[in-house]
Amino acid sequence: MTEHGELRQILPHGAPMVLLDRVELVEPGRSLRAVKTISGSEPCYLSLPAGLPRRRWAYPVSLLLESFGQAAAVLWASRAGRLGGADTVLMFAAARDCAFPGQAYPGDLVRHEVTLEHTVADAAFASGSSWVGDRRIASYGSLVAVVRPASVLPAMVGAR
Amino acid sequence: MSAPRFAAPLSAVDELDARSADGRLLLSVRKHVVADDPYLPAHFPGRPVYPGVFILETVRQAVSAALGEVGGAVADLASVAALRFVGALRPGESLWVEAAVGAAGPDGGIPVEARCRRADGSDVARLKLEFRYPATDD
Repeated sequence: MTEHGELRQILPHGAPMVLLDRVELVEPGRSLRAVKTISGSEPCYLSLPAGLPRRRWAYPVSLLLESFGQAAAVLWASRAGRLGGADTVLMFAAARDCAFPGQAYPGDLVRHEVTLEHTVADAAFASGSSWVGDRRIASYGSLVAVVRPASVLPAMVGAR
Repeated sequence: MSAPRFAAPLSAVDELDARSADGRLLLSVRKHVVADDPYLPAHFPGRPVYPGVFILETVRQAVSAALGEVGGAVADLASVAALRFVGALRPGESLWVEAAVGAAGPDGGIPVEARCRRADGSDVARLKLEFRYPATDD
């Protein structure tokens, strides 16, 4: 079990971009189960007018994908150590064959099931799915994350 | 463009131009990245970068706005066949997107291909997606 405070140490993201609440189960370097609670008080709901139809309150796919990607990064870190430091940057590089047949809403607990397919020096390949209860809301054929030295991204160095 | 009327991490489209050609809808989209965009100070602290998933969000909002509401429902991203992020945008830069929205297939899937660049023309991302109107907007 990895609690939220520890996840904030592992991931280079700050709040509110840390989109995982807890890791429930990890087989280091192989598989992981993580959860995220969807809350109506998250920034993605703040400017939404009251009274819109339910479907408009579906958690954005972009953030769901990011949340799953962070779970994959934590799984990678369970084998490789901390990801992204002062002189490196963790980047979401690619995805393939992902489907989003369901939605999550405020009040739902999203569960990510992640498998680390393989890693090379600075890249990790993961697959898996996201669930609300027994409903699969997303499947991910392949996600690729890379860690790059900040020096190869000159546009980002020193940005404030 | 006005803020989306569905949950979204930020208002991810500043300018949207849509025109029809050869049975497709061609979109030109601009998003100017600013340091105080929601979530941006957290991605990453001290080194803000427009997240790759926000590039996806820019395309999502542009396509859904261009397609418009049908029976009170908006089209949403249903699948990602492939996407690749090759560059990063920092505050002060603009994201330029050219997207082609095809006709809906027999199963309702609407194919979208998008190419994203910086102002200097350098590649930032390529996306191959499918959108769909929900069966019911309950």
